[in-house]
Amino acid sequence: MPLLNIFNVAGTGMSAQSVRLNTIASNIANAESVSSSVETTYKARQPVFATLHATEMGMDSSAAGFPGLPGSDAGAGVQVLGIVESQAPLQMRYEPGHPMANKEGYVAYPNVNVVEEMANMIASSRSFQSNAEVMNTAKTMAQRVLTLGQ
Amino acid sequence: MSIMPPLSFDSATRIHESALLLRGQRAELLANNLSNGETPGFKARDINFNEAMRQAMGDMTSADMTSQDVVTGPRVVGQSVAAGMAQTNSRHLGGATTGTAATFVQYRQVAQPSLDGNTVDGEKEKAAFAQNSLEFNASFTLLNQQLRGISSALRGD
Repeated sequence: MPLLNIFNVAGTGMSAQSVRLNTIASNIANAESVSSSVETTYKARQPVFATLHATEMGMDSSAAGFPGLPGSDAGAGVQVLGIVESQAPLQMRYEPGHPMANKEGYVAYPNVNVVEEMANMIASSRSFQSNAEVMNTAKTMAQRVLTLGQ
Repeated sequence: MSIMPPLSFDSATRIHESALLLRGQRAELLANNLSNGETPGFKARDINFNEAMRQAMGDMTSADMTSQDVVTGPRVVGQSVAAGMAQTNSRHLGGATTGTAATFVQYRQVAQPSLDGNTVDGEKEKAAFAQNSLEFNASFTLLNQQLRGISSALRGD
């Protein structure tokens, strides 16, 4: 039934956005996690989103639906393919007095752009909100169908 | 004197049933668009509702004409369908298959292209979703009224 599939679709959306919010929280929390070497410094993490297709979910492509409109056509939401570390250059600040400074007196700061993370956070929470709203509407519609014939 | 065609649940409720099904599928499609609002390269899709309904109703008209030709005897469903089941007896039911593989899902025209190739316009999708659920409710109400009418006709009270 397509209406109940909306719960899965919106659910994948909410779960993907919560992964994104998680990485944003991690990035902001580690925005000042310094280190003396480039290798060990925290790097900004970003989730990679991709469309999830119904066949990947093992759904029956011939599921009952509107004629000429196969059930699998609608797609099955979004998935997080993985989390990648940002390749942007780290900020090397000259702070000779810092306990983490290397031999040349530089401290490696993470490549987290806090302003970018805040913008991402707003986008992510808005997207989460609309997915929750979609789920709510689908619930109302499905409940309505249950009263058919009454 | 005109002969009234026999009352059939299918022909009585088909329009709203099809509309309800289609609205349900459209809701799923729009939900998918919204959940992929941040997916790079995702192309938003929607159903060409008019085309899909016209096709569904076109099937009905041909089936209805068949039923009016055979006023006496059981109604033969799906005789006009090319990929139906073979009927070797007049009392056989035809498989109600719709042989069309036509799909009414189309890509949305993008008003403001984005750098990552995503064509989802959140506001447009949300508006379409809200309108769709309202129309779903309308179709539901009409279908419900028809079913109630039929059941009160059967009861006779």
